[in-house]
Amino acid sequence: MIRQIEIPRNEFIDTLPDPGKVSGFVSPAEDYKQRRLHIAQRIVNDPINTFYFEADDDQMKYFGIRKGSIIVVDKSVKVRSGNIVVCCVDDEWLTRKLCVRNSGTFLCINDSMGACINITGKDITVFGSVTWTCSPHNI
Amino acid sequence: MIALADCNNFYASCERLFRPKYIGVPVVVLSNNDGCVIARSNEAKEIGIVMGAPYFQIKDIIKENNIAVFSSHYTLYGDISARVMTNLARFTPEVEVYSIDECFLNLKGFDNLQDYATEIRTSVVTNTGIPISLGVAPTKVLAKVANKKAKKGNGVMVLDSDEKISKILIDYPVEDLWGIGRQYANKLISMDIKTAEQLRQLPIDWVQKNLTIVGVRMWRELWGESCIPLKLSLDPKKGMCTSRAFGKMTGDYVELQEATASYASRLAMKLRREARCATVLSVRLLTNRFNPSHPQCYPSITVPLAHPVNNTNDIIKAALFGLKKIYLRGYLFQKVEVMATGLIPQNEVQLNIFDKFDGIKYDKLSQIMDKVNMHFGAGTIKIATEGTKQRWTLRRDFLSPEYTTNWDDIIKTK
Repeated sequence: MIRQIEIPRNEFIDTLPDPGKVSGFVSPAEDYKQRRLHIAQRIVNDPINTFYFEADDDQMKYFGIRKGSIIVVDKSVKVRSGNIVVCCVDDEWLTRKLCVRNSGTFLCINDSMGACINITGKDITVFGSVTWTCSPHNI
Repeated sequence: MIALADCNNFYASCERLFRPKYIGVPVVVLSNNDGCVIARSNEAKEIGIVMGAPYFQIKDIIKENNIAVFSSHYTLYGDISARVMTNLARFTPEVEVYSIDECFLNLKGFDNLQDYATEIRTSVVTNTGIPISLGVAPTKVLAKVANKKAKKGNGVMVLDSDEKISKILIDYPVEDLWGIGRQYANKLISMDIKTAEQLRQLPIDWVQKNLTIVGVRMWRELWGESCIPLKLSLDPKKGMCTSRAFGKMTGDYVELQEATASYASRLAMKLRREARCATVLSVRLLTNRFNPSHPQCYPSITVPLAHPVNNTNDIIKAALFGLKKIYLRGYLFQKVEVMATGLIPQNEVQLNIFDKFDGIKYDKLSQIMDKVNMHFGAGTIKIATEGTKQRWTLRRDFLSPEYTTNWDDIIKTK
């Protein structure tokens, strides 16, 4: 699917839309121009069905999700056992790995079964599968 | 075949999407200013909360039954609605978004409609989290009937044979048919036509003689002959209006000025969004007619604009001129209406030979304001007359966060 993502320019840092257009200088690269990359092209496949959450603590650090991480949920992606999901348990929103075993359904914070909570029979709402998470570093 | 997709209890479902604990419990959504009930979940309907019930009258019932209350949050509903409609439009090239929560789809040429409709429904429900029902039938009127039945069943109802249609219409009250108003329904009932099937079984000659064109069209639609086509293109708007009741009644001129300027500014923005200019502006003040102990008046004025405009400055100037002319001391006003009519496309504006127009600079200013407000959120830059305190604004005591339109409001997970 061909899809263009419009990337708004930060008009405070870059006041001119295209400084190269000011002087009339013809760049030797003119014929080789291609669209610059933008992270949204990789992360958001279906913007209509994408929702965003934010990690409130480091509980999921095993999976690289830390406080402040942006959690991208694409609801059109099928929820399967083994996926990291955003779900709501007792009016509390959680990001967890979903494990469906013969012995029951579990929400996990790492890959050892000891750290899982058994939610079999409990009333939980899975909002959707996490497709990407983005963690802040030097900001 | 035409399908009608209708979201179940749409406003309540939007609120529930981000507060799952309210799934299965009664939910109501209040109108602007938290005045009365405009949406109810099935559970709230069962308790007996009626549509339009004033909030202050049902406060006790709400408390007793633990009903969840929300102020209407059109930013959220608008975004979720757009998600639902875009998902629906993936299934057919011809769609008519009929309201914030309803959409007709043309399914002409598709096979296995039961399966296809089920697929559409499942896909929208998974992708958006909003429950919907689909009614499929040869005409819009029948699709509406099918949808109502679908809501009571498993969410999909396809009326693809005459027997099925007949079976459903047999106990379908004629007053519930789409396009039949109360008055018309009473007329039919007085003629002893009580169900849709009774109407359908009348001979066409009799219908043509005794019922108006509405009846004939209805009769044809019930027989599967489409008379109300899908509307696929947009009619250009002839007029635009911004009006909203104040959070509290006011007779204060400065406050009225603020409100008028603020509504005028929103109106100007809407005009620019649709690339239209107004040639006439009208302003109307309204007292609360449900409060007979207060003196009542509804003064209004129509202000012709020398030059068709859509920039904020000129629209506000004209609106405030109107307000000044109609303002009456000693009344408590509940609402101000600012309306633009005689709309013409922005690029067809003719200059007036007798008038000096210096709106160009205001046009540019408005464009910049739009950009800033788009980037930083609505209301970042406004005209000073709109006021900063805005004590007259909407009362929204039970407003949920902007989960999908504001980075500060996205849900935090543990």
